[in-house]
Amino acid sequence: MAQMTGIGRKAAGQLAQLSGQRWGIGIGVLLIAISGLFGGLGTAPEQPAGVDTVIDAGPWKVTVTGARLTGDLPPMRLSDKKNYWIVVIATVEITADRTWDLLGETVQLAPAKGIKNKPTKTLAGTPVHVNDGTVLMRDAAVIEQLNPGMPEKVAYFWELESTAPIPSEVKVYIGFRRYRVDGLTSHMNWMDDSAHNKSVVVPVVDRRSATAASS
Amino acid sequence: MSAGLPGRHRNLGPLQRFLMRAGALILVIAALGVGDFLVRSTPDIDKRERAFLVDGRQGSAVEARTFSATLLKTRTAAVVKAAGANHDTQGVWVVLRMRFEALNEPLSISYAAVVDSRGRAFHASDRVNQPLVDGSRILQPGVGVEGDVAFEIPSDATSLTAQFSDARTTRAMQAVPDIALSLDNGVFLNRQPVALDPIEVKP
Repeated sequence: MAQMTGIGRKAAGQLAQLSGQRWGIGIGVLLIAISGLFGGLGTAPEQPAGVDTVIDAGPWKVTVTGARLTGDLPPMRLSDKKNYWIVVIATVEITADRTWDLLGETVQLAPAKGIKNKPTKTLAGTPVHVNDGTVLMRDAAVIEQLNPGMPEKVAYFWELESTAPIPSEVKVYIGFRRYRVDGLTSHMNWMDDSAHNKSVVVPVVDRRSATAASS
Repeated sequence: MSAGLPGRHRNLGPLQRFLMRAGALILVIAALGVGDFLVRSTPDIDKRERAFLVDGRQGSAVEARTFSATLLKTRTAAVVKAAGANHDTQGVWVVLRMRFEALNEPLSISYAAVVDSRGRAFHASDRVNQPLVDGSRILQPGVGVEGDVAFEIPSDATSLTAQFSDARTTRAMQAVPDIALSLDNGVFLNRQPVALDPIEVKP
């Protein structure tokens, strides 16, 4: 017992003789090691989700239910009648406490050949195609916003060049946001968290003949 | 050689030095804890810079520094008719007949929302064209303009008030009319489509 106490005193003595700088370095190395144990040093892997899976992305929940390839489909008008629409359908519920009026960021298309809109990059650096418009499935109204507590089926439109290969599936990203302090204004806000965007690969159903017959 | 001069910090043992440093660390942590408590117990920036709500009721004008707003009539409906199309809802349409008047200089109303008891804000619907509150209609001082404003709200929304502002991006520290809607005691839901009446200039 006396020997143990002696060792403890010796260790405490040695620790006490360390400079503050060494203490800092030691604590830093320890924190990095702990972070590494929990994956903090690794590259965040892309986390794909399935069709018909509810994805809670912060201020909204998104369930991608399918995708279609169509011809002209009012109220959305193609810039060239020969082109096609890639339409991704999703159920979107706003869980934030206010109407959300940036609906386009909830579902974004991963780079694909022949999409008329050139890709832009999210803040996390992922290239995506911004959509050409969003339509409420309930009454085919072109909308930019949805209300909290009122989940709706929404169609997201991207124009595809007629010369592009016909896709059998498309990959979309569900945009994520996190409620935290806005560094610019110091107010709490839903801030971009696109590093955690989730992808969904959606099979595309070819409906070109159906839309050509109805138009 | 003689020992060093006697003093408070001299000849401390290793354990005493360790305890001294541990004590200093505890004091730093305690200071941070007190600071955190003070920050948490005082209003944050969202509360300090919140909008100044000006209470109002149907039929009386509410002045909000730069404009006045008057709720003239309240209707509810399952379907709203606008531009020849019917728009249904999974909740309730609330259609307010409003009168706005700029007080000093031209402005436009760019924020309109119905707020419920849970603090949820339902903005004027973009399923129908609403130039009176989307920032596109310029109001001239002293010239009143009346028009319908349609909101879509879920069925479980209660204790509703209507808020309006000419500030589009932020209403921080702005005067905002907060007009109570008398809908809680039995909402009469019109089964027939309710048409949005046109905007009228009424000086």
